Amino acid sequence: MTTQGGPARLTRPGTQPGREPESPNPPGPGSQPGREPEIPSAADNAEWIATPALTRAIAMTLLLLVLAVVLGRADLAVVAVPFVVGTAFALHTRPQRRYRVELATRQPYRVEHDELPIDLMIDNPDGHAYDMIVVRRAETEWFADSDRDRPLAVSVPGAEAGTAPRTTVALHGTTRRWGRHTFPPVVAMAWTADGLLRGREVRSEPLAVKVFPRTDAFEADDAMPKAAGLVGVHRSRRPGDGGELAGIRRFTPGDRLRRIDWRASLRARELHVAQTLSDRDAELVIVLDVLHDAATRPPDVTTVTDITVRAAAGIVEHYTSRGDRVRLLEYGGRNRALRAGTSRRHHLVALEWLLGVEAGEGPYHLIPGGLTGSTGWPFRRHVIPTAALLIVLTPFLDRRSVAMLAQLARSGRSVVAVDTLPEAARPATLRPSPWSDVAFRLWRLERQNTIAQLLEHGVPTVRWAGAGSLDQVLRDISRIAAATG
Amino acid sequence: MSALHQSRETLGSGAAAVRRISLDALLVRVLVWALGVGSIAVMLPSQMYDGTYHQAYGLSPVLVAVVVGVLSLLPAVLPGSKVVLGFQVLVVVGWIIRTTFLGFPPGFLAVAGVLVLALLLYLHHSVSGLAAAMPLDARLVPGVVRRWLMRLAVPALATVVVGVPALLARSRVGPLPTVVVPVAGVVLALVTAALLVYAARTVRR
Repeated sequence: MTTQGGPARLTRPGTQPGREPESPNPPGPGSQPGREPEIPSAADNAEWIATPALTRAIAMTLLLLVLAVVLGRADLAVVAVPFVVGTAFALHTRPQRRYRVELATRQPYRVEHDELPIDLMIDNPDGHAYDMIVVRRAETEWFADSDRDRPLAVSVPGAEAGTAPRTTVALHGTTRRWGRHTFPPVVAMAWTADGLLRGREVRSEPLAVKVFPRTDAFEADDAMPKAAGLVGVHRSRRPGDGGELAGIRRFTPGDRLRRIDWRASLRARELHVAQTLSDRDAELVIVLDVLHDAATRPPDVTTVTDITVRAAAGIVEHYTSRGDRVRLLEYGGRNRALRAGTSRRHHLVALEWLLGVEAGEGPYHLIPGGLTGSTGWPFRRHVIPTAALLIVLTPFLDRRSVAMLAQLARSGRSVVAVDTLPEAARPATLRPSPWSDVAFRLWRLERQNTIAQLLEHGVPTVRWAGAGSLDQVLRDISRIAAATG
Repeated sequence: MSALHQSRETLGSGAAAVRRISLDALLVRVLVWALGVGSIAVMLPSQMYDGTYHQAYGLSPVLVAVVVGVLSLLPAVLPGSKVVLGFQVLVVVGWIIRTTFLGFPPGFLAVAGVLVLALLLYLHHSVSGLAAAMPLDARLVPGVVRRWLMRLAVPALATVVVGVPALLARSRVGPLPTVVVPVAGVVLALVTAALLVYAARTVRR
């Protein structure tokens, strides 16, 4: 934690507020709209409430003076002097203008477990200092700092002529979890006149912060099973114009002359051409099954949604950087979809989209007959290209998810299921019984059965493990796709 | 079962609350306690410490120290309550009784005693205000206590400037005409009344 103070110019209301060059920590782009110190109006006047200390000071003064008079004791009058002078001086130098509290951050976009500095700024437009301002804030689950929800006691100096000092307290913490978060408004209460007076509560605006998922490292070396276009970075399984050498074959009418391999032709005494594989791009559809959530136990809580979002972020980053088109679909949650796209820009759009992922099933997206519906198509509004590779991130917690996978496989699409249930996830049993563990093991066996049945239907399932997770299954799927052709 | 569970929960929450107490807030409370001990120590006669009263009345210095320590603990624990006022009234009444029956210390010690008592009482009053304002689990940004204590320089200086001449003049002149003290008292009472009016005019009670 650090504190800084510095002068800030006063500006008249209505004038264009400019950035304060003297301000040590100007609000960042993600901060709430900055409120520059303005010439205060009558509404900005501070309202003070007497504390028991004021009552005490006056009572002691009266008592001492009355006793001094009654008993004729000068020493008691001397004892009363600091009470009289101290109270008068303190009341005379109390601030008349209300202070302002503001939250800001210079880095409104952070990644999970990154440090997030939040500046707590207090502007005092009055000429007198606030002896102590106690700032309280609610504890947030996503922001971890050493102080947690401890109140902060800050003293704020008074303004000099034409300037309003800004006291800045830096709260350093780390982001715990991805998502669109709100740093709760802080509530400040001021004490002045040596604690004789207490101010009313002043509340800041909340601060919006975006925390992006920490992308799990992901690499997939194998080609996509089916290509969607004639340009791209993947070598296809079909011959055509491209850079990847497929082999040498005899010249046939129609072959381009520049394809003739003269060295092989001389050796064979017959014209031969170098055959290449065509370059294709591919479309990838990532389906996020967020019908249900499950979590590991504290302190290292990892939920299905966490794994799903982090895995999706890693896969999107990998494929968009290679020029593939990636589409995202939410199965459950709010049943959202992100259009197909490629490039770095689409990667950033996908990360923003992922911040909105919420587990559960809302009432407005259910198709009659369940998510798979009687229509036979799990995604009511969305068309998935036949050539696209589907990666379904699912914890296999709902029969509808299994049915959806089987249905997609039956429709002839290449589907890979990624198991997102944390290894250490256990059912939340309020009253554990001796049979809980047995029941859980039975459920796990049943789940393994389901996964094996899906494999028989042509849906391989892998546990998410970051880099190389999908290589083996992608290779198998590519082989099947090439064979079925 | 439920009673045991409840008591365990109560103990747990109590332990958590104790763990949350910050060192800063604790030090301020210790300062209140120390100033309280100092006030009573100045108020009590020296016979309490040298064992004279131990032989006469059975009041051992250790017992006195324990009683003073426990008594001073009350304002430190409840700085925002009327206990602080009660404590200060007790010190003033004790000072009056002591000086009435045992007289003032000889020479300059009398002046110093009154000044020290005045300053200690005011410091105790002001730091109690700080302790009452500061939550027990608060983290202090450096400079808060320093700034608070620096503001006490004005009343302290005023006490010395007004008190030393007044007390010295009192001792040199000897017994003052009975009219001087009431007049000074009335003047000061008027100032206090003005202060009350000033405070009531702008401060919501």
